[in-house]
Amino acid sequence: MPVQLTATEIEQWLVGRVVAYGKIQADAFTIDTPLAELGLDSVYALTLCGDIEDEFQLEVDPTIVWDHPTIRELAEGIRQRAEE
Amino acid sequence: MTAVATGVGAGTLAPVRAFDAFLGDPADDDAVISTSRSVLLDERSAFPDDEITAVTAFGLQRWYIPAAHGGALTDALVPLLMIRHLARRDFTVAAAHGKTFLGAICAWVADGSIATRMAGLVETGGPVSWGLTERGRGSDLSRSATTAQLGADAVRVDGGKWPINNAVRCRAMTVLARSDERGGPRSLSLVLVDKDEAEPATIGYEPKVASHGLRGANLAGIRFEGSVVGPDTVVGPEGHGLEIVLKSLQLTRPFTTGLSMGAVDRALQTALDAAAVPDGAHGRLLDSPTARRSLGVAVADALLVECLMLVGVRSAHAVPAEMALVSALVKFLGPDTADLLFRDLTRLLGARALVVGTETSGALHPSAFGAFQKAARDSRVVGIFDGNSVVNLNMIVNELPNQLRPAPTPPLAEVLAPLRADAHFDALDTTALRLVTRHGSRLLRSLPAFVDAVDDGRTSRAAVDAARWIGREYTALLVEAETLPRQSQPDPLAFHLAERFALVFGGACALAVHLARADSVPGPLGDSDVWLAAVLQRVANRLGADPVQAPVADALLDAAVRAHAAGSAVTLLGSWTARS
Repeated sequence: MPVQLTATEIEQWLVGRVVAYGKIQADAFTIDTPLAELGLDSVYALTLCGDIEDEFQLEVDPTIVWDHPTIRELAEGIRQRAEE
Repeated sequence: MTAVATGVGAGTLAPVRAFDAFLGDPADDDAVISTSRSVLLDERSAFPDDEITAVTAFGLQRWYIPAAHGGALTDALVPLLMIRHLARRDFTVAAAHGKTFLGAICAWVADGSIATRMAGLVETGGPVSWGLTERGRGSDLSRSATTAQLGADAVRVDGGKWPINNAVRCRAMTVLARSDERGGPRSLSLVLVDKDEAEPATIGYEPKVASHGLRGANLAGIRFEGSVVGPDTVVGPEGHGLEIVLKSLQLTRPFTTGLSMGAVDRALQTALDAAAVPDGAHGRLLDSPTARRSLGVAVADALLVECLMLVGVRSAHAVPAEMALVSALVKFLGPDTADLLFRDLTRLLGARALVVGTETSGALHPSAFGAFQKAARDSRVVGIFDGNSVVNLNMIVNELPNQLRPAPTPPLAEVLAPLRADAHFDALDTTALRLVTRHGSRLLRSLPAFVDAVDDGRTSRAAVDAARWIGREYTALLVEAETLPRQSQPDPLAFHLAERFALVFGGACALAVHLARADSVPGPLGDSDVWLAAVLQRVANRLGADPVQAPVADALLDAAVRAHAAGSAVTLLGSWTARS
């Protein structure tokens, strides 16, 4: 993952994934809306993990999506994980 | 740490043979589990008390407890085959006793002091139940409304679970409950409610459920009204209930194939018995070409389920990080194939398949047909519990992108090693379970290599051609899966694709078992590779290819008839029955 990637850029990428998965409009939610309210149930949210691994060249535990249940928190979790 | 050792496989199954010998001949009315009594109890919807007591006295529950916690569980194939021995005699007994394995498993996954406590409970023979589902909430565990208040001094549980096997008769129950009202997947925790610890007046019950299958089982509802237990009853960390349950299901799903196989064993036994005796003016089914084809195909279906069973349990040991996908593939295709077998044999046996009770029918032992229809009804339950077929197909859909992700495939010998007859495992490594796989299933990824390996000039053309057909289907499926849109609510096409992936996986399992055990399949099935040809042709047929060829079905049926006549089960696995 490029070190200069900011949490905002990660957030924007996650917004794109959520729109694609949940088939919802980008203006229908904010980065603080719980993922569970965006048409992504708890099991399906885990598949985001694969996307995160591919996009950011990271190995993350799938439950990262559960432990960071909003886009803002998840972006921060990914950023921290990338810095480790 | 899990390890593969070789050269000790046959000795590993000694307790399984001893259990079979202990249970005795079910045709004998004095056996621990007799068919006559099983059928009678089922008709009365009565719980098999004496049978359960005897099995507990034998100590089957010790094989539910990992050796690390003082039990006998090292290689999970051992308890799996013990459950199969029970289920081929009486499915209700197997489900009622095996429930403790399910009820305890979250504690093994969570590890720590709760595992020690659970081991003590299971050791006593007290039934342990698993409280997951609730009335009106379907299969979605994240909607659980039962609450647990986790305090420093006590845990208080309120709510109810339904329908639960052993709800009333269990000594303790592992209960999934909401411990955080904010919601989300981290809002659920697991609590071990020991009925000896909670105030009895705070636990109530709902009536026994009248069911089509598992009639005699203690299926009922339980209610907790301020049930208080100690703070050391939380299974795993707070908020990790759903995670532990989903990981535990990855182990219990392949375990249910032992139940399916037991029912399938019973079905084949009845069908082969019936086919060998004249039926009035129609003569013997064994002399009818049409009936022979159906019987041969049923044997192929049974062997496919056995391959899935072996791959499922061995994968749990060897590749736990792949179980998110493997367990769903096995749990979808296993029960689906068993259901197909029962449907086909019911058609073949005609009115005899619907006979209830223990009346003598011709030359056959009384209750043979009563036992067939009981197994047919009971086995249908497998496709419903521990995640139904739709749930499993949905999991396969979600996993397809991981299967498509580029990854190196390990050498063939490494993929096959866990399936070898002399493989043996020391423990289940539950710490390596993962909620999603990184690269899908390596066994499925190895399918093209299996196909090439089997085309060695020694394997029959019939088997190689069917393997090639399935290999091409796999390649086509991968291309199709690439175009699948990723969405949280997959459309029906995605489910159809997942179903075909499962069938291709079934083909891969049969090929892997053949490549790993060709020299150790017991005769007469092991005398040739006709079983492989039949299973692969049957899988290909379900994927749209031609039906199983008559000579292939014929040859497989002949081998099965010889095995059956010699008093053996129709099996690819040696040394698990008392007669082997």
